[in-house]
Amino acid sequence: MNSIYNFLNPHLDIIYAVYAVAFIMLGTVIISIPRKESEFKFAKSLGLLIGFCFSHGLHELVEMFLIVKGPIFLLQAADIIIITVAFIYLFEFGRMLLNINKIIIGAWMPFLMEAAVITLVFSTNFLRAHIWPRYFFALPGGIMSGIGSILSYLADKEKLDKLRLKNYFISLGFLFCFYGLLSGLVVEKDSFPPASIINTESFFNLFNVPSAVVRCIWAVIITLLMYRIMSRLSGQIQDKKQKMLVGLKKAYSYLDAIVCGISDSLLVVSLEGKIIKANKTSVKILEYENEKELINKDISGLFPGKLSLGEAGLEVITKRGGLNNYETAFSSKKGRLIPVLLSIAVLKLEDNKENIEAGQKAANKDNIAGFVYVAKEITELKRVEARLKLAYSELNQIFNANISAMRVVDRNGYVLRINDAFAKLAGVGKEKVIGKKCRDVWPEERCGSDACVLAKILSGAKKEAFSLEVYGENRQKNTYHTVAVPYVDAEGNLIGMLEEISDVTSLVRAEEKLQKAYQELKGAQAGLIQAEKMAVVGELASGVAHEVKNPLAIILQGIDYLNKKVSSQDANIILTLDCMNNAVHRADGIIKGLLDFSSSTELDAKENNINDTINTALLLTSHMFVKKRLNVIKSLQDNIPLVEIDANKMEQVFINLFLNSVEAMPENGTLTVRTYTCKAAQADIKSVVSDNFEPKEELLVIEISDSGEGIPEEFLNRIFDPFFTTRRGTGGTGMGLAVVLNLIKMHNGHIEIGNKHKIEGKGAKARIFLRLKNKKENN
Amino acid sequence: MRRKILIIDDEVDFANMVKLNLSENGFDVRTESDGRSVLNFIKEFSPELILLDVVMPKIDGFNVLKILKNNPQTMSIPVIMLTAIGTNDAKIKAAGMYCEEYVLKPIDTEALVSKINEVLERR
Repeated sequence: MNSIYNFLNPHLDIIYAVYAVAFIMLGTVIISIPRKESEFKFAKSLGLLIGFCFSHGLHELVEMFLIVKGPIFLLQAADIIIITVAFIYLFEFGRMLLNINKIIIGAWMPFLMEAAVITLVFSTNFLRAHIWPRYFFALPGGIMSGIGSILSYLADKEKLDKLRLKNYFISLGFLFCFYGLLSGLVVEKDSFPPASIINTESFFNLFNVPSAVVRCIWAVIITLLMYRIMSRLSGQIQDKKQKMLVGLKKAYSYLDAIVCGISDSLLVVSLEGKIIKANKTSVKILEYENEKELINKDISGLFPGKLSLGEAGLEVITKRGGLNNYETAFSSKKGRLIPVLLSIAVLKLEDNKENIEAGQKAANKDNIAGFVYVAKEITELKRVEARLKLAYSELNQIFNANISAMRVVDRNGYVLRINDAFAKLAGVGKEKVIGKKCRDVWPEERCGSDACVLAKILSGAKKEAFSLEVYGENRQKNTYHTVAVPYVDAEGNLIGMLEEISDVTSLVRAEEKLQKAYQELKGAQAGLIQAEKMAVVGELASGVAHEVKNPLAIILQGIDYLNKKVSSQDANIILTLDCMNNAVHRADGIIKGLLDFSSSTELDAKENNINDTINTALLLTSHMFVKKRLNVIKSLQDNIPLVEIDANKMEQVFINLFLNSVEAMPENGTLTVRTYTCKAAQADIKSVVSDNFEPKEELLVIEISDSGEGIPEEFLNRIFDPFFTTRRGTGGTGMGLAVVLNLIKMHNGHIEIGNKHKIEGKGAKARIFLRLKNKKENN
Repeated sequence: MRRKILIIDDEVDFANMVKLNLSENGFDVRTESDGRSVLNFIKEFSPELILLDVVMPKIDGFNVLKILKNNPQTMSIPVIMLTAIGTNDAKIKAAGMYCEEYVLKPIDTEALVSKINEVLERR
């Protein structure tokens, strides 16, 4: 026994050194493992154990120093404080372990202990005072740590079993307990129990080994055990870290894929405005070669001029917490403008100490780390929008340029839109009409009835067309043509109707005019045909007349001879010759009429008094009037203006007309001849030829009427035709009125022949209109 | 004594018919169809009155009239134009050439005879 002592006693300094090293190593081992990340509860208390290890290690070093250098008072005093602190750490470690494992020992206990220790340290021999920390802290501390270790094992049994740490923990528990007993009970020998009974001497006497050596061995064993436990835990933590890292990498790659894959441009910008990250779309849109080119570029360089963010500078954006769908434009590398819809999100960091500790300090109090720019390229959208605008403008222009009035009405009869022509037609403001009922804007007879156009269109009619006559303010009739067709949306759904209203008034009027002109043309054509017919007849007559007259002359001479020579007793022969004689005279009359007609080609017009001409004609035909006992009433205007006429030809005109009247009247009939002047407008000219006269032109009118039966209606159109006669059997040649018409036309005049008005009695009436262009007053 | 009348007309049938009727009315009538040798006829026949047609193929009535009226021996013989041409122009022309009467074909014998007598009595 002594030999051991002899061996160990001079080397106590080495033992203390080993002791110290063991504790310091233990502290270092515990420090080296990341306790935070551990999922085990007891890991939280390891900090206190570190404190114990280092302080106790320091104490052992001091002990070693004191052995080597001899007692130094200050060092001894410091040693007491150090050991007290060390054991308080152990005590607290144990208490915390118990607390963690739900054996709550309040903070009052260490205070109580401390108070006791301080009291006892100063009330006893100061230099031997480290007995008290051992009794009050080391002993309970070690035992609590031991129990705590075992409880901790039990608390995380499954996990620790997996790590095969069961035995270590249980061993550790017992080791802590024994260490507590060893350090807490085996103290320097003193005069009072238990130090007087259980002390280093008694320990040595009992075991022949200095207690310091045993404690040293114990410390080494605990250190080894702890090292084992810590390295296992550390491995587990490393695994976990690895897993987290893999997860993080995965998450990052997901994020990266999302960022790179999205079709929108995404830029992460630092607080200073530098681009930190750009996705593929950004590179493509901005026409850069690759992402690297964009990195560290100033974000403001991507915006042309003032277009950037308008008023919304980064500060404003920061205040507002971001920017949403702001329409702006990027300037590409090639300098092209790329219209985009820009959103900016503010990148904020979580506000906790760890980030700050980790060095990711936010540069300002809002913890803003940067901005995320997300831009959607809207070039195509803009193009489509522009095209849409153009198409709309084009349609709108066409709509408004249309001369027809148009309106669009929805299913409920509300006006959606009208064009300029409609506004003009309805006399309303374009904007005021929108949203009004269709019937309030342009009412029609059909409104509200079964014939409602909208109702018809809505019930499937493909087209509704009708005409509308409206009397305007000036009592003028306006005609409108309306066409309504279905109004459908892009999908072809019926959503209303489109109405087109054309003012066809002018068209209708033009048509009427055309109709009139056509009638006139027809009349003129008839006149031309008539003239042509007459010309042909004239030509024919003059050619043929001579050739026909000679044979007629021969026949007449023959009849005359026979009349003389044939026995006058035979009545039939006389009748026959008489008939032949009549026939020859009739044929001669026709030829004569033809010749008259054909000869009237040239006028020998001089200024004449028409009344004189009429008197001459009456004189020449007077024997006829006398023969039939007819009355002649003359109503010739005095001082009638002279007219330029061919007196002979006008005589012929009057004679022909008088003869017709004589033929038409029974005995005692009355012929009335009137002459007067009047304005063309008042002349009551029926024929379309009236257009040939100026309304204000002064005309000379000769009116000849009889008291005969009048002209049958059906003949009125034909009386001027050559060879038209109702008296063929009684010497009528049918040339009389043809010649009259011809002569009047040659005089540039006009003749109308019809029946007298009913109130004037029966009979025909002829009116001749002559121009007084070169009139001279007949003084 | 039968009064002598010369008819110059290319319409032979007409001339013959007139001759027939005038003969019935006591006239001595000779007919000719070509007026060119009118002076010869007059020499041979010595008519007191001539009925002259206007439209004839070889020489027209106006030229015959001109010959007659330009010849001092024949200019006093009265000429009645007996023609189918009834135009004023023709009538005026004939009057200007001193014909006695202008009669249009066809004509009644009665009327013709009265015209002839009228003209002859005027002499």
